[in-house]
Amino acid sequence: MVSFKIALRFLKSSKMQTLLIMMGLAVGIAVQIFVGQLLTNLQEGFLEETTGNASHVTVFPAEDEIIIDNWESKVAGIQNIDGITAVSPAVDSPALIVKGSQSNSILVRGLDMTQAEAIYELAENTYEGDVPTNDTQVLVGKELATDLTLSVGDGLDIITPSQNTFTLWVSGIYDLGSAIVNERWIIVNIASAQSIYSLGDNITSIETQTTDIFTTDSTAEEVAAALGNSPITVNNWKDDNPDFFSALASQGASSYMIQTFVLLSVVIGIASILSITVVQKSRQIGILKAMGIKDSQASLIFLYQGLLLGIGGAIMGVLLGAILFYGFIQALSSSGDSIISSSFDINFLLLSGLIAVIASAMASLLPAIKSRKLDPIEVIRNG
Amino acid sequence: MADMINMQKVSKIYSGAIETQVLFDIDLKVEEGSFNSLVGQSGSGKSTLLNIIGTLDKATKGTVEIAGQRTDTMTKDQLASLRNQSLGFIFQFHHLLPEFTARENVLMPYLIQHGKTTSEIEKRADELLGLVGLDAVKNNLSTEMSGGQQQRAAIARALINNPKLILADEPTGNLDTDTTDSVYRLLRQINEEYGTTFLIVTHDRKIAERTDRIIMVEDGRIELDLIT
Repeated sequence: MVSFKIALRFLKSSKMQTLLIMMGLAVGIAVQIFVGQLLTNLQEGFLEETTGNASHVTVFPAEDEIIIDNWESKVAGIQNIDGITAVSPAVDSPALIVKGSQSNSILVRGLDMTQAEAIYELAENTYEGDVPTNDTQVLVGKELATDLTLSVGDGLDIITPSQNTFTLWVSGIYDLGSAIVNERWIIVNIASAQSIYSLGDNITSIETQTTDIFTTDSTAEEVAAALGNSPITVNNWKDDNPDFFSALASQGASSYMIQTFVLLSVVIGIASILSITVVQKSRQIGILKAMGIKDSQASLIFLYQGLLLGIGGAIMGVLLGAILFYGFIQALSSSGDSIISSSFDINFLLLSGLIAVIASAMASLLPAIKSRKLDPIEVIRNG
Repeated sequence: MADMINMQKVSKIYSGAIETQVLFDIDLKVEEGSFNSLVGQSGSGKSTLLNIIGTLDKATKGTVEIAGQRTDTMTKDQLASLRNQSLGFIFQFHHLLPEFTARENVLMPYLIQHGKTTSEIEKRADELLGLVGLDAVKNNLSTEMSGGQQQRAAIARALINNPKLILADEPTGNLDTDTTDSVYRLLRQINEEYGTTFLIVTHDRKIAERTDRIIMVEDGRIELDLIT
C-alpha cells in the first residue's frame, strides 16, 4: 500500500511528465486501435460486398452428370451441417435473348424465391418492381435492363440451346452489386426453369451460405461427406478464389505487424522514460531504503507507476482511437458510399486497452529491477 | 544498563582499484539511554562507523550488535525492518522526500511498516511536529520550508516509530548558531523524555561538549573515549 501511495505521489508531483508519458502511450494505442479497427471493418465490408450475395459452398452434379435428383433429401441433409446458414436449390442453364438485331448471352437462373432470399436478398436488391410470383415472370439485372431498355411489364424472348423460344415478362429489376452478374443473370421461379429445360423435378445445383467464408473448404468436405455416394461434386468459395484469400491474409498479417510495432515502440518508450525516473528518484528511493523500505516495496513503486501510467494512457488512447476512427468514417461516408462500417468491436477496444496496461507494467519491470540495486549509502554519502 | 550498541573488532576496507582501510578493529559499546557524540576530522572514518551501526553499510570484519541483535548476519529485508522499527536517522542534508508534506514525511516510517496510518499515529505525528515547533508549516511540502524547519521535520520523522537508537550525522552542520542550539536542546529533551539512545556525529565542539560521552575517531581508530 505504501508503494502505491508513493507511486501515485511521484506521478502527481511531476504532472507534466506524467501527462506526456500517458499521451505518448495514448497516441500509440489510438493509432493501434485506428489501424486495427479500420482494417477489420474494411475486410468485413469487403467480404460482405464480395461474398454476401454469393454461394459459399455449391453442390454440382458429378462431371458426367447433368442434374441432381432427389434434391429435397440432399437439401435437408446439408441444412443440418454446422456452420451452414442457408441452403437453396437452383436450376441454371444458358440462353440467348434476342431483341431486334441485338442478342445477349445470358444465364437463366431458376431459384426457389423463399430459400434463395437468404443468399441473394432479392426482395431488398430488387429496386424496381417485384420478384417473380408466377412461372412466366422474370427478374432482370440493372445493366441488362439498361442495355435492352427493359422496364417492368415488358416481354422478353429467350432462346434455349435446344432452339426453343419462351416469352417471359419482366416483374422487376435487381442490382446485386456486380455488373457481370447484373448483365448475365435473369432470375425465374425454379419451376419455370425446370419446365423451360424439361428437367422434370430435378435441379442443377444446390447453393449455400456459411457462417465463416474462411472455412468454406472444410465445410465443403462436410457437405460432400453428408451426401455420401451421390454423383456430385462440391465447390467452395475459398478454393475458387485463392488470390482473394491470400490478399485478405496478407492484409490481416500487415495489420497485426503494424499494431505490434506500434505497441512495441510505445513499450520501449515507456521503459526508457521509467528507467530515467529511477535515476531521477534515486535520492528518494535511497531515503526510503534508509527508513526501512524493503527492496520489493521499492520495486513495487515503479511497477505501480507503470500500471497507473498504463491505465491512464489506455483510457485516453481508447477514447482517442475511437474518436479518430469514428471521425474518419464519418468524413469518408460524407464524401460518398463507403464499404467500411463505423461499428466498433468493443472486445477489440478492451483488449487493446488491456494490452496497453500489461505492456506498460512490463515496461516498468526493468526500472523496478534497477531500483532493487540502488544502495541507500550512495545517496546518504553524496547528499 | 544494557548495551544498545556492541561492536567488536570491526574493520572496514573499501576494495576497488586501490584498497582503502577506513576502520581498524574498532571495539565500541554504547549504553541504552545514553547521549553520545562521535567526533573526528573529515575522513577519519566516523561517518562510516555511524553507517555501519545504522546498517546502511556493512563491516568487512568483526561483529555488530544493535539492541542485542547481530546485524552483520542479517538479510537485506531483516535489516530494512530493523532500520524501520529500531533506528532513527537524522542526516546532515535532512533527506526529506520533496514530493510529500512535512507531516507526510514524518508519517512515512510508520506507513512503510503498516501500509496505512491510524488516527492515533496521526495524532502522534502532530504532537511530534508540535514538539519540534512545526505546527504552522506541517502541511507544507518539504521544499517550501527553511533549512532549519526541514531538519526539525527530519528529527520528528526519526522519532515516529519510537526507535531505541537515533543516529545523527552532522544534524546541525548546515544550520546557524541559534537553530543549532534549538536542535541540540530538542535532541536532549527527547533523550530525557523517551530514554532514546543518541549517537551524534558532529564537527561542532560546543555540541560535543554538551553530550555525556565523546568518542573521538582518528585514522579509523578510536583515539579518545571521554565521559564528560
